[in-house]
Amino acid sequence: MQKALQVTLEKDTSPYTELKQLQFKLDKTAEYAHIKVKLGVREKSWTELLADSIRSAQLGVVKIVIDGPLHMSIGTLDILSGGLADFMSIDLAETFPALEETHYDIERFERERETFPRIKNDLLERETYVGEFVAIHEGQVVDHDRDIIELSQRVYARYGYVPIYIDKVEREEKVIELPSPEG
Amino acid sequence: MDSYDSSIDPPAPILDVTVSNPHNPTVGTIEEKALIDSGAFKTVIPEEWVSRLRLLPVRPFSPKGYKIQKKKQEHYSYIVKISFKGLTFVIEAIAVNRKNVLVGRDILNDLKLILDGKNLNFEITDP
Repeated sequence: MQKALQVTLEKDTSPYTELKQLQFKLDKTAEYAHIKVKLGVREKSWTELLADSIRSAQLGVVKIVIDGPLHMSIGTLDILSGGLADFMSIDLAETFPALEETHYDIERFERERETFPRIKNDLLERETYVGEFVAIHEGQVVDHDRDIIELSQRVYARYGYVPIYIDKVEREEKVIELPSPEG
Repeated sequence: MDSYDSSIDPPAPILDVTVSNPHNPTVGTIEEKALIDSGAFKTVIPEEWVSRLRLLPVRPFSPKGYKIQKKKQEHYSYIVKISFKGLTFVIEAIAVNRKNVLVGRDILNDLKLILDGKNLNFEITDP
């Protein structure tokens, strides 16, 4: 049986995830060798480290498992651009068909997001927007509504399913309780 | 009336739900168990579904009030379609590191929910 390498990126909700720590555990007797990648501040190309390990372990098949949210795919872009392509036996483009698009989407979303705090005070001075959700597309408020679902459906229909930042114009920030990450 | 799921200790009201991306239906749907949770202010989906359903983020939330500085603590919301028992909702759900769905008050407050814990039964309807 050919051995495989399974890479799991540790879950992280930050869209700015990059390599912080790479933990190797290559078990030559197991079907899969597991490598846990902890993401944080980039220090060194993790694909280079990984490629060296794959060579030393003489693994025949590389299985890359990205078990995280969409923005985790930033990390997988490194796989494509790094030295791991030589070891791929799977079609990454098929496995992650939206990778390039995803990376682009994150950058776009963050740009739209940065607009909101800059214009929020201006929006608060205009009664039209207070208490409403606003949709920000290409740095501009393009629509608003009291109902976030109505608004999202309208702007996605108008501009396509592209990154659009939507947030509520309110003076006080809500305190919310998020559920436990267990379950 | 439906029965509580007794495989959970203690038993809990669990629904079979189908979740999809209303703006990109070609990526398919995910079927999963969902816990009815009136303590959750919004419905919650597993974080790993974001990439599976190719969802685009809407806005960030954090455990102690959103729009904080530390982005690592943030969770994002996404517009999803969720269906169960012949009912369908398009909602803003939050993705967190969980295995199953929590059906929160954003949905429950539009429905009639009867929890008969004594007999481990529940009923959820749109009156």
